[in-house]
Amino acid sequence: MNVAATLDARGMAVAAGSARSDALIQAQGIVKIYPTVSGEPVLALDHLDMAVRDGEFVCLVGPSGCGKSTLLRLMAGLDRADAGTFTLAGQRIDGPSAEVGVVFQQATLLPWLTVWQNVTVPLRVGGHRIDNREGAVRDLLRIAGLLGFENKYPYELSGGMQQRVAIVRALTRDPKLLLMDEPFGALDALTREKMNAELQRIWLASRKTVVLITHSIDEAVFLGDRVIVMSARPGRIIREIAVNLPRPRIAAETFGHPEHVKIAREIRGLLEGGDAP
Amino acid sequence: MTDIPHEPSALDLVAASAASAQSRRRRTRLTNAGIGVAGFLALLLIWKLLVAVLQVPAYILPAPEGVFVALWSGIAVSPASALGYYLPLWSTLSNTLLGFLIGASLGLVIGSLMAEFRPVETALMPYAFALQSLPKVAIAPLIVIWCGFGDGSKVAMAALLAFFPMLVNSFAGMRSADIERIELMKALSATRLETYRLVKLPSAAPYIFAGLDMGIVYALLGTIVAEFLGAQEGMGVVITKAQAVTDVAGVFAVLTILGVTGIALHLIVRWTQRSLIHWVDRGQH
Repeated sequence: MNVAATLDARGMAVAAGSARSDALIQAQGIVKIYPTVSGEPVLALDHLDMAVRDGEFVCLVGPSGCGKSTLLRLMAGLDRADAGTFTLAGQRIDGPSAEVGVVFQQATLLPWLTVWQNVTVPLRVGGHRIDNREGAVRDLLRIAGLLGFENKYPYELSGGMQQRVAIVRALTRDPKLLLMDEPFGALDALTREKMNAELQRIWLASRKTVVLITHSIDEAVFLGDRVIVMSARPGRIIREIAVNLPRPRIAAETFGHPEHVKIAREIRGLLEGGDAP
Repeated sequence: MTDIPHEPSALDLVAASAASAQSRRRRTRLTNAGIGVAGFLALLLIWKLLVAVLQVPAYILPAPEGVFVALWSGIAVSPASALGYYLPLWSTLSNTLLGFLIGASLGLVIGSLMAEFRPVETALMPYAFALQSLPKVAIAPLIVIWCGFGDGSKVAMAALLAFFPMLVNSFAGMRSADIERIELMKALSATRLETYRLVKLPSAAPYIFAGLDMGIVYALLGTIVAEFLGAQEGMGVVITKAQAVTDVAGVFAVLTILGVTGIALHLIVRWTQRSLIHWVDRGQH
């Protein structure tokens, strides 16, 4: 009772304090508590504020269980915050929306459907119609290098290709925001590096706002305009670092770049608990 | 162009290995078929020897050739003949299939509703458990009282026996659907029916086919049991008639026909499954 009251008071204070209007996504005083079967409820997110500009590529890094995925689920409208508000382009997020595309850690394709049927699922459910988007989806497939694979089934594709199908599917409704939850976590290191380059290419071509969760520091610095570092549970933002590396970034050049090395070292320092230089 | 002997290229080796794998598979299949036939012949031989050596009377256990003669007398007649197997087999089969269709459809619908709506599950699960553990064949006399001695009770019995494996399997199959795929549909604001059609039903398909496979054989069993309890036609009636005159060879002949029918029904389901479920679902990916 008492705890809830203080949470509310603090949440409102924070919300009033940090209003920024130029952002596509605005999170204010987000609190998320999970009930557990045994014992104390777990505080997953503790008064978290963040903002993402239109067209920005933001990477979220943090230790496992820091609430990154919780944050993403809230943004996707799959879950509700216990306090605080999320807004997307000024509109409060209170459920799944066509303006948000989600890519999960697993490609989560439907194995009984072809690639084309999979990427057009978003146009056939939730009251959407296929006719006016068919050409755009074909363009997305071309950008993702999947043209010619429309009639293949997911099990005929490699893991990397399956994840690209999932990315195209997330973009099918032309959302404002693309959310990705460790999308390449299940891939091997080499494929992952290739997929990072692919994703950057798709992003440069589509210029969506992207929020990507990763536990790979190198991936975060390689892809992000900005890297948000989160603390261990309860999740708070401990630092936001702008990455000023030129685009398109190329793995062979970027990974050795002094800026990349410096930022990666700073993030590593933060995550290991020590103070960054 | 002349044939110059040369080192085999990698491509040749791959082709050769594929060819040898194929011929190996073919040989394995031939060997298995051979073992099957040899086993069957050995069984007939042991049967024949036992009957001859122990001098078992024909009204206890007829010799294999006696069963063959009975079998032939039922097969080698006009399909319209009252003495042949065709009319009773058609009666049994049509009732089996009708009952199976009704029972399996009901099982799928109610299993789906139970998987989809918690209150339906809570309300129906105790009865499903209770009826499942009840030997359903014991209900047959009651069904004959309700539906009479005609086709009605046979269809009802077949439907009853086909219903439960379908209920249990479709329920388990729907519940086994991958959480992430359901979450995906939620993120796409799909309706319940869309999620059912696109994710849950296909996820449950392997379970549903296992239920169909069991259900079709149970439906045949149910029909025969209903025929035993007093019917005018069907393979069950042929058995009871043969039993009445201690024509044991005739009983064996009908059992053979029913066994082959059961296997054929099972194979039809399996074949349908293989042509319908073409995908490989590794759960994730």
